[in-house]
Amino acid sequence: MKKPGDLIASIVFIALGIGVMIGSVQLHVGTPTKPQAGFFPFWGGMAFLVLAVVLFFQAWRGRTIGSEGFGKLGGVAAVVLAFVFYAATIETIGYIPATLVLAIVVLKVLGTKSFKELVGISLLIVVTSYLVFHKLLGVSLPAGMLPAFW
Amino acid sequence: MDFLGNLATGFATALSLSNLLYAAAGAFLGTAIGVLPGLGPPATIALLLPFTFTIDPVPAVIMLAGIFYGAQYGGSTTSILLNIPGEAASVVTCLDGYQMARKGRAGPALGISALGSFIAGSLGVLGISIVAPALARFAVKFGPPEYFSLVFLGLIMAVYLSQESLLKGLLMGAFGLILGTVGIDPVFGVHRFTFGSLMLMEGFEFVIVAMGLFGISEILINLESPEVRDIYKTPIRGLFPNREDWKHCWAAVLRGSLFGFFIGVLPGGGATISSFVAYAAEKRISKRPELFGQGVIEGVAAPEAANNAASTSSFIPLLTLGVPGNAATAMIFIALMIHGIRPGPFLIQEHPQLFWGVIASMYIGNIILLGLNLPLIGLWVRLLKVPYRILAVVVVVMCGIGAYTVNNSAWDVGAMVAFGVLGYLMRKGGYPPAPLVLALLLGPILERSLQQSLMASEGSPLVFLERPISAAFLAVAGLLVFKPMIEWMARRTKKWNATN
Repeated sequence: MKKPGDLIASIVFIALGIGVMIGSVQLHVGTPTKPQAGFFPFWGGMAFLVLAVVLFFQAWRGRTIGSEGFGKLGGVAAVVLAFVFYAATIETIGYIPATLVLAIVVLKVLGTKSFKELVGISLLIVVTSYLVFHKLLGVSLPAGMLPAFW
Repeated sequence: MDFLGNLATGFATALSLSNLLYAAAGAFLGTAIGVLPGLGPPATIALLLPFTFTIDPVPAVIMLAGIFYGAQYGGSTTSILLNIPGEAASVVTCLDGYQMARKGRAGPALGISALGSFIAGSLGVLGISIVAPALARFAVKFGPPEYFSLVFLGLIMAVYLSQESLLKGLLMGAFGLILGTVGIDPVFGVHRFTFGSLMLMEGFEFVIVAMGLFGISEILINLESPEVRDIYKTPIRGLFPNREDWKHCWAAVLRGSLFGFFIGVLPGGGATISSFVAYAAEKRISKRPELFGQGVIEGVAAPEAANNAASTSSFIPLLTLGVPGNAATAMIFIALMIHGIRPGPFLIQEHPQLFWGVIASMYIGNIILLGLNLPLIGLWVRLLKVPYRILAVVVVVMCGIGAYTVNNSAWDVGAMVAFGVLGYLMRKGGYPPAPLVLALLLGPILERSLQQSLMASEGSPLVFLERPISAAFLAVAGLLVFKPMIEWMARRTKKWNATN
């Protein structure tokens, strides 16, 4: 029985291997006596490509091992989106608001139902982390739109 | 005499108040993350790495090392009380540890786990003090071909020993080598695979990759099916094993220590494999093998001793050869590099205070850990009751701060998230992250030694086979890679012979 996950992965890897080899040729591979900037990535890409082709055939024949099914993806997607929001806004809105949103999403996904608990725990952890890292340890954290509090 | 003098210098360094505090902090954090399922030593060290940039290298390494070997102590607590291993290296402890707890013997199980770990850790430190300087003196003779072959063998062994799928491990290793070439080429100054991005010019930041692949991906995996913890409600009394217990397990502790020490030295060997090997060996040697799995004390003593000895001895290839054998020691490699210290054969000569200070701190760390694990067992049990959601938020917040502070850049936070998603997909597909991380780290060393070897030999690849040490390393690597093929051919030949 074919392993669709590994088949898709092997096709992505084959494309990546070919891409790396083309990129390496553009960088100039050189010769073993005079290796150029593309020498190592070219042979690394070649090894990767060969292994990806073997994976493709093994997945086709259903002989690959190690993969497991996905569980509930809704929570994972929500936390990834919250992380993307965090990365995109931490410098504009600041550490505390951006982290607060992230913490609330993580708590919600992990089953916290009470609104008070959700906001209370998030605020406690975020403000404590700010006080410990920024005020106590002198770690630079972006002030964003709340400069009055910094 | 030299040895004692060096060790005295090490103790003078390790016993300074600040270094003692860092060792205690590392041991405490290590035990805590060992106790808490869902966050391993590589993830924790990756999270804390950015915060060690501003402190001196000696205390930084002392603390990070403490986290690593401390986690092996703490990992057994959950195995014994919950039947959930805190660390991969404590999986096998569940078999007899939990059964002992069910029979009302949680105390001696926890006790022998801590005492066995202490004895093994101390023997491991004694071993590292003797073996490491000798190995470093030997490795000084290595030229680029030997280094190329050694690093290559290290990567192959890390893949081979850590995985069920050799192919997927090798793929991730090759992927790591490719990722390691991104950025400005150090020899020719050419931009490689940067696609015009200024952020990619410096290449992928190792700390960011490790935080994503280990820290974030672990959180995402746990989000899918938050675990339910059910602590076995048994009174924890009499932590010290009785005379009968000692009669059964003193030899198991010593054998576990030996197995652990030698397996830990191998790249990729580490604590997990050594605990399985020690358990299997103990069962085979035992006069009562039928009782294994039903709660025999030597079934706890041997693997716990082995995983501690292995975590200590895995510092040998890092400190003497400059080749980290697992993800956790790879983080410590980076901590040293960030402070301008290159691990390798010259480390002992150039930074004796660091080398012997770290060794001495391990002796002290083991004593601290014994103090933390036995009298504070109640605290660790209470820690298990902290809801996972609180722990998850703390880890997420730490990841965010850690990634941002590497370069004070939101780009790094984004890159960490991207690697976190990649790590999540990799784990789901059975693609191990450790070979990728090791290859990313060791790729530049491999490339440099390959280029130097080829240029010196006027392009002849035979240089790797003409030098005996290099040839031996490559022969072992070749055997490991082609072992499945050799086995397949042997099976075919046997089948063919049987039918003809």
